[in-house]
Amino acid sequence: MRFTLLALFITMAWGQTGIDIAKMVDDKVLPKDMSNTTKMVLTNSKGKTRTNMMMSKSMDGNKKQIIWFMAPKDDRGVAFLKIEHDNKDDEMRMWLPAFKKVRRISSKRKGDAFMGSDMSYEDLTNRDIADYDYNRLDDETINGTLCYVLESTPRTSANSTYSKHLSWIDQSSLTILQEHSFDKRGKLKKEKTFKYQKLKDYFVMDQVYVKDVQKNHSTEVTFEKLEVDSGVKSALFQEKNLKRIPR
Amino acid sequence: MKNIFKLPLLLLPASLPAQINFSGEINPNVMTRTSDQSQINLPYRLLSLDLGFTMGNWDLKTNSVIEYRNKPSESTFDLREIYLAYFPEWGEVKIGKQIHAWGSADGNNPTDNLNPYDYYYLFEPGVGKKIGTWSIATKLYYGNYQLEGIITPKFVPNRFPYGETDFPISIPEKPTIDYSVQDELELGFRVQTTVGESDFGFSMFRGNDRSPSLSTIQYYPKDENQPGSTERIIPQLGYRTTTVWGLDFVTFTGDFSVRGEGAIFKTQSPLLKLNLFKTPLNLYELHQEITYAQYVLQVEYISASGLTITGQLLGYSINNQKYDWFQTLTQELVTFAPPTFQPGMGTPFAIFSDQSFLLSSLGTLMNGRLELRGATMIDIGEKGKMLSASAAYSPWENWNIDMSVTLFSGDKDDPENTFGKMEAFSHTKLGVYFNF
Repeated sequence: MRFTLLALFITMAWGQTGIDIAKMVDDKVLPKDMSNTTKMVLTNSKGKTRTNMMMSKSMDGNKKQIIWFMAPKDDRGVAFLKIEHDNKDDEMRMWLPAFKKVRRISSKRKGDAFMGSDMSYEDLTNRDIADYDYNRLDDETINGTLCYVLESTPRTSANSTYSKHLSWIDQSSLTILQEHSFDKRGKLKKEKTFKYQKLKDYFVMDQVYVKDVQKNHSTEVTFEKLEVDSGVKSALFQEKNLKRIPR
Repeated sequence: MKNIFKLPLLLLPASLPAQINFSGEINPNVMTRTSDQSQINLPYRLLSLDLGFTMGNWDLKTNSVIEYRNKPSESTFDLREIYLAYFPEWGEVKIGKQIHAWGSADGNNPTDNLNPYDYYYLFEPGVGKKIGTWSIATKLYYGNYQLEGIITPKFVPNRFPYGETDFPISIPEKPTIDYSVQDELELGFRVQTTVGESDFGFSMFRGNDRSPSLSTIQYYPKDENQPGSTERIIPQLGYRTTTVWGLDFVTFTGDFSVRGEGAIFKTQSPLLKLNLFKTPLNLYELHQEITYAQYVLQVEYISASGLTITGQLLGYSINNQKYDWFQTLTQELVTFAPPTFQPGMGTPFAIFSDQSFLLSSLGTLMNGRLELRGATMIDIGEKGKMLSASAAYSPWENWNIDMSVTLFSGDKDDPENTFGKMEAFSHTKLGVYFNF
């Protein structure tokens, strides 16, 4: 009996393949919407920093996102709208107050840096589970937390700028604690770490640290004044709302 | 009496969120000629302030500037914009003095003729070169479509640097406008839609030329009986009307962004409302009908290191010209030489030459603290080019030190060459920006 239970446990623990783990993470219940104030600190190889402040609202698991830039002052008023579509090209638009124009930008140039940071547009976009192949590696422990280690390799359909990602996923909360991303040559490009806080029934990311190891440049993003399921409406994600900084 | 003042407050829902927001910049700067380091004495915007009030779906927005001239030291206040904006579910409505922006390309927009230009600020990016006008604008968002309509009841011409000897192309003195605009009402509409990863826009605008042109002449023939008599022609100016049809698009192919605009302009002389009892016998009217076109094709590339390179091809062509001179009182057609056509609408840089190419680059270093720009504009049809390079450094947050050099080079054998006329304007510029 004990042997049977042990065998069952081992099967359950080790029977999950990479795709199983990816599906578990993908199926995780996410907030219907999220709002926060974002502080982004960019640090270059000489230790010089630059700080951006933003306000952000998103819904549908970040498929719709709108960001207003608050600081530095010469960026204040600039805003960014992203809408991911399942069956057609994503839309990315920026409001430039100095030009009084909403400027459409390419959603296919996923490798472009977001506002000079170490996060690319691809890093900010959801990954479609069907666009990747998954391979489970040996479990590891990070800071006392037992993690799945998942290797994700993009297929051609992902149109990715990376060759693969290694993700360390907390086995209890199914949150990604750490990720290494590799460039097309297979060399380590970025190291990312993530921190979370519990809000209502969700584990919500409240800090991201990205280091571009090739450029020796880092970005630290802190999410403050987090709110989830606050009733953000779909109608907010329109061009006209780029022109109005929310209260 | 006191109750009357309380009524507007009672009408405002107490629960509406309200906020005042402001931002601006202070920008002292100095321009000196590269030829002799003498200072170029033109006015510039020393202070710019955006002040707004938001309550619920309503915004009140203003933009004010202090325009300053170094010699003699003088400043002028200019309220560039003040308008009320309402944002219902279906779109937006704006009423007041405002600046509009149409078109997909950057900097040069043949389809954007809603506002006149301030020629003192022709080299400013974005809306810095435009003059606000009193207008009503409505924009409707419907699925993938945007429909915009604009009505401008009051005409405003371009602001030209009359009598400014330091301006690159000087205009001696402000001309007398003999015929005011016949119909000040200007109308425009634009439709934009999204198809895949492309946006397409179609627009139409009917308005008055932003610069005056020849409307009539008073003609005094040589008097054979008077020795020393000569033929005299006194030109009289007015404003033509122009209708613009425009198309613009943005699309993406591979690593490139492609933006383009094209516009066809139909310009004609308006029917002058003259009092025939007061019309002189020697008055001759010019009736003109001209069709011309402008286009801009822009390709943009961003490298892996974040360097942005933009190439723009600008073109201008006159497709059809028709000039008729007739004596006002008798309506008899006469033969006078037609004037050289100068368009009264369109993007200014496309008027400088029939075809030109603009190449620009932008890169940032030091964590975004240092911004480097370069640009060159080459007249493809004739000899002439402009080169500029600038560096902007931010030593502390909200501060910028900006240095630039701009050089013009034209055909020395052609006195009418536009870039040649601007050679004396080749300059360096040093400025400090403080954003608040």
